[in-house]
Amino acid sequence: MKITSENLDDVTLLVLSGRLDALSEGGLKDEVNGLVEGGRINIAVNMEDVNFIDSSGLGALISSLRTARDSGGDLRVCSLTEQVSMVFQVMRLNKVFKIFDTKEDALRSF
Amino acid sequence: MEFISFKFFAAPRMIRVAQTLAVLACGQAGLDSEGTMAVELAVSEAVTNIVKHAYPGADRGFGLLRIKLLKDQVVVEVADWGGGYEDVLLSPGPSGQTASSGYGLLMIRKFMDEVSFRKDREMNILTMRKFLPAPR
Repeated sequence: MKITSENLDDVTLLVLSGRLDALSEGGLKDEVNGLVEGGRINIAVNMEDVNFIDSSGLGALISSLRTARDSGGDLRVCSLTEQVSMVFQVMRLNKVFKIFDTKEDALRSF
Repeated sequence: MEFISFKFFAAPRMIRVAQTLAVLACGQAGLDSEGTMAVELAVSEAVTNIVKHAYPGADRGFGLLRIKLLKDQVVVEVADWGGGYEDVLLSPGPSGQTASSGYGLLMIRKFMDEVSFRKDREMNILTMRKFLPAPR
C-alpha cells in the first residue's frame, strides 16, 4: 500500500493506492496518528486506487476515524472503487463514515 | 473437482498467495466479478484469522487452503491445527471481540452463501460455499 499526503489549507488529503488489508493496516494508522499529533485533524482519504479492502483495512480506517474525531476533527472518504464500495455497503459503513463521490466534494465538505 | 490443495506456513505473506489462488479458482469456475470478490474477501479473512489467531505464542504452525469446483458452486475449506476460533465464528456479531476477528468472520458470513465449522481430529476446518448464478 502506498500513501501520499498533501496539505490543503486546514484539510490533509491522503491518497491510498493498493490493497488495504492485514499487511498494510499499520501504515494508515501510523500516518493518521502522525497527522493528528501534528495538529492536522481534518483528513480526506481518496480511495480511488484501493482495489481491495478487508476487515483489517476497515479496522485501520475506523481506528483512524476515531483518532481524528477524538481530537475534534474528522476523517472522510471519497472515490470508492467497486470492491471497497461493496464492502462499505454490506457492512453499513455509510452510517459511520461520510462518503463522497469525488475528492473535490470531500475537501469542500470540511 | 479439486482445484487447489495448498498447505502453507501461517505467515502474513501467505494471505496474498491464498487470495491469488482463490481468484484463479473463481475464474476457472466461471464466477462473476461480484462472486469472485466475495470469495477473495472470504479467503483473505479466513487466512488472516489463522495468521493472527490460530497459533498464539512463538510457535507458528500451518494452514491449509482447499478449493473444490462443483457444477453449481465453489467450495472453499480453510483449515488449521491451532487453538480454533469456533466460538467467534458461531457468535452473532462483532461486539466484544477484536475488530479484526469479529468483523472478519461477520464478513465471511455476509459474503458467502453457506458457512460451517467442524473439527476433524486436530484440524479446525472452516467450509465456505459460493453458489454460481443459475444459468439463464
